[in-house]
Amino acid sequence: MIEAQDIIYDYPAKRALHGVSFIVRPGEVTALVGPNGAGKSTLLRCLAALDRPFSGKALIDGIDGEGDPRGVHERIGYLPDFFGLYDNLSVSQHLFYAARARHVRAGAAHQAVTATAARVGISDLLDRRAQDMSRGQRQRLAIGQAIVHGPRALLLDEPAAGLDPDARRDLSGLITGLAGEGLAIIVSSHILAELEDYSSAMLILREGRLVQEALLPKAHAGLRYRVALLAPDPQLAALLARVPGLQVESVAGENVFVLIEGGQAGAASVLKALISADLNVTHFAPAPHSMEDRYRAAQHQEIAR
Amino acid sequence: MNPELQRNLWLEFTWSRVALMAGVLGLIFTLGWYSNSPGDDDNRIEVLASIAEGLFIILAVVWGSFKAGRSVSDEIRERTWDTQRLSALSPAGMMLGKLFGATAYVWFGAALCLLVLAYCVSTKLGLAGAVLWCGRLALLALFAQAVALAASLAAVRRGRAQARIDGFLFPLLGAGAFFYARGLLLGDDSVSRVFAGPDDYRWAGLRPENIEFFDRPWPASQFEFALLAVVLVWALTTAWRLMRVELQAPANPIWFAGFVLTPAVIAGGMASTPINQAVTIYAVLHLVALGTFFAEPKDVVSWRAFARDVQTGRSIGRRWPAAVTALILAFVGACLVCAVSIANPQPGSPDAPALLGFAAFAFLVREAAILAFFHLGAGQRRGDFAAVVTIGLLIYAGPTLMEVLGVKDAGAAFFINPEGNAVSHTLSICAGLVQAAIFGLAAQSRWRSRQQAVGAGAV
Repeated sequence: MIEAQDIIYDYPAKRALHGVSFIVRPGEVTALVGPNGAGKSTLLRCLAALDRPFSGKALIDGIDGEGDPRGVHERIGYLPDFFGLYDNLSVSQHLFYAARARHVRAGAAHQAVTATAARVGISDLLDRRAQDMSRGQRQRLAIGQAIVHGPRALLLDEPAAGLDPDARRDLSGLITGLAGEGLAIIVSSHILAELEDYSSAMLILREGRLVQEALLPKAHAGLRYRVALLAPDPQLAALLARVPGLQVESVAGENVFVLIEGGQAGAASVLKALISADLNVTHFAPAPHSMEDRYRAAQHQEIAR
Repeated sequence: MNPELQRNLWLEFTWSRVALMAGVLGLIFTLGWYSNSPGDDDNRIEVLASIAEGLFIILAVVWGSFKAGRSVSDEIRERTWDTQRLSALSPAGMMLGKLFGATAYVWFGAALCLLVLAYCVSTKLGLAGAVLWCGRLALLALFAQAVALAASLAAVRRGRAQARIDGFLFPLLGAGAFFYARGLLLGDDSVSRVFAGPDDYRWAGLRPENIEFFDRPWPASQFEFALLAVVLVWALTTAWRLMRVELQAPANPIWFAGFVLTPAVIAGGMASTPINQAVTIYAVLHLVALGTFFAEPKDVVSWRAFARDVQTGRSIGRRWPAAVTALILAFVGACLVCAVSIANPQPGSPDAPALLGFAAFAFLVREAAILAFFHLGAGQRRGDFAAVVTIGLLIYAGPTLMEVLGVKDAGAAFFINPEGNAVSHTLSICAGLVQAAIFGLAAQSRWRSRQQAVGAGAV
């Protein structure tokens, strides 16, 4: 579990983080988003016990980074915005060093190297030196370094930057898999679309303040639907409110966004109810809430304030 | 094996580099052997020993200090230091891995030189003497490398040591430490003296005289080895302590006290009379404190956090500034000078030495206040420079001005007069503290402004 407790971080003339608090539980993937200079990297560095906050606590599995930074490092994997690779070391040497430096025993480290290389898709490059690898391959190696010791929490700073579409899809699968194994994961990125596939929660950071913390609906559940009518109907909202397992989220002209329980069966029941009510339905399809929508909404709320 | 050491060995050793080092050294030794005094093997051995010693110093001391000093700064420049700091290795493991790993290739060459040197020296001193002689040389080189690593870590804390040019300071520092320690311990003891004849040679138990340390005689050879061990442990401990800071490990002010007291006690012990010993101890404490004021990063955020910890009364040691420890120890040193002076009255001016330490300490407090004042200003990066200029003006321009005005004795208001009397030292104490208060109050005003600025941003 990753826990931030009222973290304040100061630069000499500026406060970079203003009492940031949140929890990321095992199995959750939390997207950390915000504009440049919002404090995302600073927050990740505090969580990784690389920088010491002015006050507050950064806990990994209950261990305070200020009191026991080595204990935190043993339990986390951290991918910084720079990969931290040595040009003249091979893939296997990088992974072996990363494992041994986090107290994996020599025998187990060899197995961990093989397994991790397979997991990040660089098994065939074990003897290749980092300087002879492409950017995408170096990125995979850097991610491999972060997970080779079997961490309990993962902090990824812009992990998909510079990756091609295939590699991004692989990365998405890897992160989903690691979350499935019970890791608590924070992914920081500017590119919201790439976070959409695997994030279960989102933290929006702006000028060092947490402006929104939201759970994201699972994309595969398809619970959010857009219903469109030929023309706006004043009866629609009232009718929909009577349908069991359905909640009206918003009405915008002839478009209504609804949240449906019960998956596909629930959606079928709703459609049947709409047709029975003799409404001229022109559109009825899933409309998953995009992170972009939420991010923009948070931005608008803040401007309104 | 220590993973950091292993990583360095991977990077340092390739077959081609090993062959190159062995080949070049072999060529130099062969040329040295055959180009000198054909038929005179004794002379050839002496020349070979000098070549081996020179090469050892170039490799282990100069190149080794360069490599040790760059072991951390290179990581920062290549942006791999964060990955290293994320390791779960202990600070001691990281420090030793870097010290022995970064210099592993250098030590390979140096070991070849030591083998040749040991052979040459054994023809004069026997095997045991040769081992002792070469072992001492190796420990001195390790001391030089540890000093370079510690200096590099201190520079890293101030955000320095990342430019390539900075790397050239480390060999200079290492070589300085090597020759200073060798001179301090053994005088001019190059290998040529081994061959100058047994009467002139004073090593390996042959040195007859004792060394006076705190007015007590100690057998020279044992004392020199013990002292070498102490300074080596001191340098390694210093590097370890700085590595702890760099790796965010909780600080412990006691280690810094050890760092300051060790050279003070060694230097004091070498002095002749009790009052000279006390004054020497104070002088070292004063200089180390002054050096600490400049060397420590002027991290205003840490100062604020420390001030908050003091107010709340919890975990004060966590962010305890080394400069405060240095200042406390300097005050204790001033008290020591006073106590020893009272216990050992000097004929002529019995009360002058008693106040000497306090007079110097008052100016030390002033320098601390000046540094704090300039570092709390807007132009922080120029804080050290502005402080040095101000202190320089006070020390040199103040007394000169007093002399021009015809009140030469009033110069003690700006800088201590070591040969002054009780009146002069009293003036130094009062003037030093007044100046410290002026700069201290100005610094406090800047501190409040900064607090308000950050506070406004925090709303």
